[in-house]
Amino acid sequence: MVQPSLGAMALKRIQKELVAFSQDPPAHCSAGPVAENMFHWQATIMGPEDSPYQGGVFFLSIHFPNNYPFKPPKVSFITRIYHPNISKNGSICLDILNSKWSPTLTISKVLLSICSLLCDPNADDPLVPEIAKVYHKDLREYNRLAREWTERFAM
Amino acid sequence: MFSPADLFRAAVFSMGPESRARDSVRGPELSHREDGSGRTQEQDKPHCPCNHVLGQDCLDGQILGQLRPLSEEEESSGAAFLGEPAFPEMDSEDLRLASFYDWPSTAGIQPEPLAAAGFFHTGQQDKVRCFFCYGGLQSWERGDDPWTEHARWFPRCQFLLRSKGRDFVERIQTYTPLLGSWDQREEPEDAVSATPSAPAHGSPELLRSRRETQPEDVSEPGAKDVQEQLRQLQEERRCKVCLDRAVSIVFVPCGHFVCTECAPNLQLCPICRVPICSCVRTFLS
Repeated sequence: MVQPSLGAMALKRIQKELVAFSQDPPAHCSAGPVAENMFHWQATIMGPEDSPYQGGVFFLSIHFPNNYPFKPPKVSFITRIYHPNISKNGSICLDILNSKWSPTLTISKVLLSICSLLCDPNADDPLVPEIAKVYHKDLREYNRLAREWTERFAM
Repeated sequence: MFSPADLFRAAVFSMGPESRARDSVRGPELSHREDGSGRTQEQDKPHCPCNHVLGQDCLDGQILGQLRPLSEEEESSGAAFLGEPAFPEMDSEDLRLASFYDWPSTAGIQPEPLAAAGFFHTGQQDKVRCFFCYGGLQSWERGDDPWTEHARWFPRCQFLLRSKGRDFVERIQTYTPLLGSWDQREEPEDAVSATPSAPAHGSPELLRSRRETQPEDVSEPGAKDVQEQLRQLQEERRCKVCLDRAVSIVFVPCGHFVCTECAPNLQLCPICRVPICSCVRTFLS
């Protein structure tokens, strides 16, 4: 009984988000549903300037749960990226996608937060400890490797 | 071409009834004159579209009052206060003419016919007032006739009726269309006199172009501003979780609102993340 109602609510909310996103997309981001499934979106993030990811185009996958927005969407990178908070399989270590999710957050804000994460990694809470170690010890090597991965996978 | 002038004149129109209310008390009247001029300055300085729109609404009411049948005038013509001029010291045409000592040279009319029609200069730009009915006019254009304008805007002025007769006033009033179309009035005298003067003088064209552009600037932002206000009001009442329904549940203790559908699914306030102790149903009227 409760499930279809929540699903209908989620669908309506996602449709409204899509309209709002189309009217006022955040800078350097784009997003939209894949095929006809409103619960599965694909997004792109342009690598932020003044970061080693500059010039890259990173694809992300977004899956909405049936009880969205009461549970966070599942966002993951499709394009490989050298980042201490993003794993090899694309998982993103971002608190608003897990414990700090709020139903008032939207995909637009999530993508902005991911852009911010690309500019300022949170190496104190890493998902990939090896990359965090490089980030702490040799920032220049980190930038070089991130640049190399961007040129290899995101261009 | 005439609508900007009408708008400017209408801007001062609202001063009329106020001054009539003051006629009954002479002492305070002296101090109120300064207040009146102060208000005029206030009206000129801010160009807020909202105020302009509101002003227009008020003016419509004023014009309705002014355009009522002259038969009411006959009934109240015996009243003493209507027979008293608002500025008795300006009863003399020579004194009225002296008030035009700093009349702007760019004005489209000379002081002599204005003084003859009962007007004296207020000291601000080309604004004049009738010494009897306290009616104010401004934005004079070349070819305007002071008596005609006096009859058009203040048909109940006793000085006007005594000087030009009721027939003159009624004839002018018949040429004044009703409120909805007073921007399109057809005044043969003005039309004939305005056309030849336009090519002859450059400055009137500049003045007219300024008048024409300002109302347009005012009206469009007003419309957009109203729509913006409406959108903001709708946004304030919409649930931030479903982005759809109107809010009607308030959380305790934080006080944030959501709708009835979203409230049961929440343990933390979606806006400030404070734990929810209880929910209270509210009704926003």
